[in-house]
Amino acid sequence: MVEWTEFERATIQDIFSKMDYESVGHNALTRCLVVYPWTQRYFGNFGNLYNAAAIMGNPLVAAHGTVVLHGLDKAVKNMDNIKATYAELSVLHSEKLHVDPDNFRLLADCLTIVVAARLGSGFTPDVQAAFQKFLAVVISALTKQYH
Amino acid sequence: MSLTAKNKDTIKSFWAKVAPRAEEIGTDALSRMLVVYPQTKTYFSHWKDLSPGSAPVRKHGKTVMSGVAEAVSKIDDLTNGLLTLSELHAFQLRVDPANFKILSHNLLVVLAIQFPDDFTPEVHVAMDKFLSAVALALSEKYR
Repeated sequence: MVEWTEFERATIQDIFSKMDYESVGHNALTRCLVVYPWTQRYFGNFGNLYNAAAIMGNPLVAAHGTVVLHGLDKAVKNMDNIKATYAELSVLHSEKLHVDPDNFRLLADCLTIVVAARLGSGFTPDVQAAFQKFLAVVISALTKQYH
Repeated sequence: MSLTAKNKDTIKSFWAKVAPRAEEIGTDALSRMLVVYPQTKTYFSHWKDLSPGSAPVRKHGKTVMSGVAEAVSKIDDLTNGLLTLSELHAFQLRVDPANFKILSHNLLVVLAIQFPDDFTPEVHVAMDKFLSAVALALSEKYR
């Protein structure tokens, strides 16, 4: 089981309680599709993803970014049981969506960078460590049901 | 995934903004790396103080960033341009190349913090490609 310090718990709750889900979700997913263009393979039905401006302006990308960010809520609310909480989503990503789990890491890195830009100096090395640990646990849980 | 002409222009323009704050950025990136990826501390057992912003971290952050600056100036031929640095990393430092990715990630995080408006997705992808290319050039002499 994952051990969380008081600092880590408080940091994660703090970051997500203040987060603008629409904006951060949209920006993180956009960044992922621009910086790692091969991730576009999962969004064939999203229409125009031809360049950064098109991706940024695409309403389907914006909407989906919000969906993904709210998916993280489950982990924020169940930090002591993330593995079990994500069992169903893991099966979904593996069996139905067929997402290569390496993509979770790519999106996590983009999310870290977007949150860093928002928080500025508040995103200290310790806060970064807590945030990245949280995302790593989520990624591990999402990958668990792949076989 | 080689650098396009557009990538190179983007990198050079952005670097002009980064250069004046290079030492601060290098220090912050290195500090974060040592905290967020503690396994990287194994390369610095000879330092007295590994805490964020300490004197050895500051000095080394400056060293690393001047290496990156050199890479920007030699962006058209990184493999040859960084030959000496590659030999240093291969034969003396023997840093596991996986760590280049880790430091690159932390550099990008610091750039996002320092340039929230300028570090757009386009700049991000260009810098990510550039740092990967630098890592590749640094690994050239490993084996």
